[in-house]
Amino acid sequence: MTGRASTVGALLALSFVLVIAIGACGEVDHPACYPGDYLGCLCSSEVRGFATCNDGAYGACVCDGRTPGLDGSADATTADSGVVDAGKKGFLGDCTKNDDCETGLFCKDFPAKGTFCSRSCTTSTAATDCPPPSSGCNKDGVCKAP
Amino acid sequence: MSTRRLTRTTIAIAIVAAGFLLEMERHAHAQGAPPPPSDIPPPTDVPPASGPQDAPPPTDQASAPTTGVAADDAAPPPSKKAARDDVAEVRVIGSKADSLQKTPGSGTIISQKDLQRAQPVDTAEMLRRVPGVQVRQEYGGGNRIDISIRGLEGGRSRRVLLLEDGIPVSINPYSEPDMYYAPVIERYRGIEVVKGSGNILFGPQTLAGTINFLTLAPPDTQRAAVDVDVGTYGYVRGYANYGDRLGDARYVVQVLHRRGDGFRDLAFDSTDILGKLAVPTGADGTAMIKIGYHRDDAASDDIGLTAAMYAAEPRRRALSPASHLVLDRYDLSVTHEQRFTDHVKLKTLAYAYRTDRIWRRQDYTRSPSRGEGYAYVAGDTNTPGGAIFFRDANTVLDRTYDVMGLEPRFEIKVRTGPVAHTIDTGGRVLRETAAYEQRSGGYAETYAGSLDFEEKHSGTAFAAYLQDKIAFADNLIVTPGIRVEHLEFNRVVLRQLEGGSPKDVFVEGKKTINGIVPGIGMVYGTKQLNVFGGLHVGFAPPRVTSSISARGISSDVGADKSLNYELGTRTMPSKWSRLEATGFLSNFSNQVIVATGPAAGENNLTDAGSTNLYGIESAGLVSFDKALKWPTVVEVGARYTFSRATFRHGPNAGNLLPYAPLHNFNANLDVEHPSGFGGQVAYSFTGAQYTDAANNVAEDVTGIVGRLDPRHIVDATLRFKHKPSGLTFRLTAKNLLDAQYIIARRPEGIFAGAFRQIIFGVRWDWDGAKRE
Repeated sequence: MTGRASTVGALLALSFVLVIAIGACGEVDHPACYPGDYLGCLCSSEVRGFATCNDGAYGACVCDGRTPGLDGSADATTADSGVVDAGKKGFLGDCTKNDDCETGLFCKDFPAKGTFCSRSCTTSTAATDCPPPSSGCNKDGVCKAP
Repeated sequence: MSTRRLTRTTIAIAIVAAGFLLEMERHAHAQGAPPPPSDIPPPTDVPPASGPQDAPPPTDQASAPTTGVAADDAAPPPSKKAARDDVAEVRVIGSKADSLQKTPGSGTIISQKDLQRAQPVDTAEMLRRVPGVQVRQEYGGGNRIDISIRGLEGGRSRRVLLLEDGIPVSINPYSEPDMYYAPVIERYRGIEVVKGSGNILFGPQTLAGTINFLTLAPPDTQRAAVDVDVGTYGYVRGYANYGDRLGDARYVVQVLHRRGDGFRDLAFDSTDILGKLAVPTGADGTAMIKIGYHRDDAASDDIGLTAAMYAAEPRRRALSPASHLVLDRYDLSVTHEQRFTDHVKLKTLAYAYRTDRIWRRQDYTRSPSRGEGYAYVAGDTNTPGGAIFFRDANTVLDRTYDVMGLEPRFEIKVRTGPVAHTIDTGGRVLRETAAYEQRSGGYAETYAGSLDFEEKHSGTAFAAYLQDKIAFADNLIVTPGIRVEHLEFNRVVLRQLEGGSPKDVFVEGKKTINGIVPGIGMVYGTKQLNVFGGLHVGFAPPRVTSSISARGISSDVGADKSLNYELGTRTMPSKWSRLEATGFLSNFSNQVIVATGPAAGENNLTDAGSTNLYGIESAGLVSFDKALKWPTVVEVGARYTFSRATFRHGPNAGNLLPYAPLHNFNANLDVEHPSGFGGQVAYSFTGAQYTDAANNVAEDVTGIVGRLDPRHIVDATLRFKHKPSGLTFRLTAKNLLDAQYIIARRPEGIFAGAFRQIIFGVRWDWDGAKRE
C-alpha cells in the first residue's frame, strides 16, 4: 500500500470512529410526557377522560368527566384511593354541581329522577363500576340512578 | 431516530462515500494518470465567475500610487472576447475587484472563502456576520429565517429584498413578500448585501437593504465535489456537484439532501436540485439558463412554550409535533447579456417560479371548555393561560404562489467632457398570483379537511428605474437615481365563514399602489480611503391581505415609507487591515410591524406609525500573517452594530421596536497552516431586546411577552485538507458552549435557540484539468 493510500485509509478510519462517536453522543432525551401534562383517552365509545403524567409516563385513564383546569386535576390515583372527601357526597348521593361529589364522581342529571353523584362505566365492567343501588351502566356510559 | 439506527445510517453513508473515493483513486491510477501535484488549490465547489469574488486586497499606501475610486471608469472598456467568458448574472454590488469601494452605501460581500472557513449549516449563520443584519431561524433545519436590517421588522423577512442572482425569491414579491423558502447555503458561492441608496436599482422593497445570493457558476474545466456531513440530533447532509465545458457551453449540476431529527423533535427533510447552463448567443452575447427544485418537509409548530414550561424544562420537545409543513418550489430563469457596443450592454432577466406550500397546524386553545375532548393538555392547568389545550383537529393552510417576471437592464457608458457616466436604466413587468385554501381537519395529522375559506389574489407590477453613476473626477462619484413602482392588487374571496358556517361567496376588492423612490449617493476618496454617503426614500408595498380586507374593502394599511440617510467611511490603512464604519438614520412615516400580545396572531400586522431608526455599523479585518509575514494565515474579523429603533408618537412613543436589540457584535478568528490544518472560532453577541411595543420586561404566563436576555454564541470548526487526495475533513461545533437562550416569543410563546450540535464532515474535490 502506498504512503498516500495508507494516509487516506487512516483518515477514513478515523472518520468512521468520529461518525460512531457523534452518532452515540448524548442528545436531549425527551420523556414521553412532562409533569402536569394530561393525555386525552377514551373511556367508552362516547366518553373521554384524561390520563395524568407522572414520572415521565401517563397513568391510567380517569373517566370522571372532569376537564383539567376547569374541574380540578383528574388524578387516577385519587379516584381509586377510597378516601372520602370531607363534606362531599358519595356514589349516588344527591348533588347540584360536580364539586358536591367526592373525587372521581360527577354530578349527573337523571331526567325524572333528579341529580346524583355518579361515575363513568362500561357495560363490561358495570358490575364493579356501578354497585347497588345503581341498576347498571346506561348507554351513555354513566352508572344509572336507582 | 434511535442511536442504533443513526449509527447504522451514518456508517453506511461513510462506507459508500469511502468506497466512492477509493474507487476514483483506483480509477485514476488504472488509467495511468500521474499522481496529482502536491499544490492542488484549496477545495472549491466550482470556480467563481469571472472576476474575483472577494473585496480587493488592501494595498500598502506607501508602496503603491494612490488611485481614485473612479480612476478606472475612464479606462478602456473590456474586449468583446471577454463577454463570451463572462457569466450572465445580475449583481447588486458588482463583479469587479473594486465594486465594493464604489458602492455609495454600506455593503458587504461574503465570499466563497468565507463560506469554506465557516462551514455554515444554514444561510442565517453567514448573514449574522453582516453588520446591521439580525437573523432568527424559526426551526432547527433553518427552513425559515426572519431577517431584519437595522431594527426593521424581520418577520418572514418581508421587509428585506431577497434576490438570487438578481431574481426575487419571496413567494409573491409584491403581494406577499414572505420567505417561506429559506435559500440553502450550499447553492451559493457568495452573498452580497447592500444598504442605502444602491437599493433603488432593485425593488420593490427599498427600506433598508438588499441581499443577493450568488449561485454556483459553471466551471471552465471538469470539476466535481462530494460532501457528506453527519451530526448529532440525527443530522445528515450530503451533496454532490459536477460541472464541465462542452464546446463553448458550460454547465453545473448540484443535488443536495439534508435531514435531521431537530433539537426539539422537530424533524426536517430537505432536497435541493440546481442546474445551470451558460451558452454563448453570438459573438457578443451570453445566456445563463437556471433550473431548480427545492422541497422542505418539516415538523413546524407555531405554538411555543409557556413561561412555566420553559422554566421547568428549557429543552422540552415541541408541543405540537403533528403540525407539519411541506413546501415545493420550482424555478426557471434565463439571464441574457448582450453587448451592443463597447459602451452599451443589455441584461435581460426572464423568470418564473412556483411555490406550493401546505401547512397543517394542530388546533389548540388557552381557554378550555367543559366537556370538550382535548387530545392532550400541556402546562400548568391551575393558572389561567398557563396551559395549552390541544384538540385532535387541525387547520390546513394550502397555498400556491406563482410569479413570472421580465426585467431588461441597460448599462450605458458615456462621457460628457471630462465627466464619465455609467447609466443604469431598466424596468420590470411582473405578474404574481396566489391561491389560498383553508380547511378544518378532523384529526391532527390530516391534510384533507372541509373547506372553510378560499381566495385568490393577484398582483401586476410595473417598475422602472434610472440611475447615473457620475465620475466627476478620479476621486468623486455621485450617483443620483430614481425608481417608480406601480402595482395593481386584486383579491377575490370565494368562500368564508358567515354566521359560523362556511359559505360560498364572491367578494372582490382592488387596490392600486404607487411609489416613487428617489435617491442619491456619493463616494469620495481613493480606493484605500473613501467616504460615502447617501439619501434615499424607502418604500415597500403592503401585503394584499392587509390592504384589502376579506370583505373586499380597501384598508388603511398602506405602504411602508421612510427617508433614509447614510454616512460612512471605508479604509485600508495597510495591506493587512481593513476598516469600515457607517452611520445611518431612517425616519419612517409608516412602518408595519407584527402586533404582539396574547390576542395577536402571527399575521396580525399593524401600522406602528412613525418610527425612528439610527445607529452605527462597523467592521474590521486584520491579517496578522501579512503584517508579520507568517506562513500560517491568521485573520481576525469583527463587526459591531449599535441600532436604536423607536416609536415616535402614540402611547409607545420612545419605546424600542420589538425584536430590535441595541447591540450586536460578532467576531471570528481564522487560522490556516500550510500543512493543511486550519480552523475557525466565531463568537456572536446579541443584546437584550423587547418583544412587544409596550417594552414589557416581565414575562407573562403565556411566554409571549417579556424581554429577551442577551445571548453569547460560540461556533468552532477544525479542518484538515489532505492536498494530494483532495479530501478535507472537518469537525464543527455549533453553539460550542451549549448556551441556553430564548430566540423568540412569537408567534405564540417561547422558542428556544439551537442547542449545541457537533458535525463531522468529509469533502472530496476533484479537478479534471489537473488530472490530464
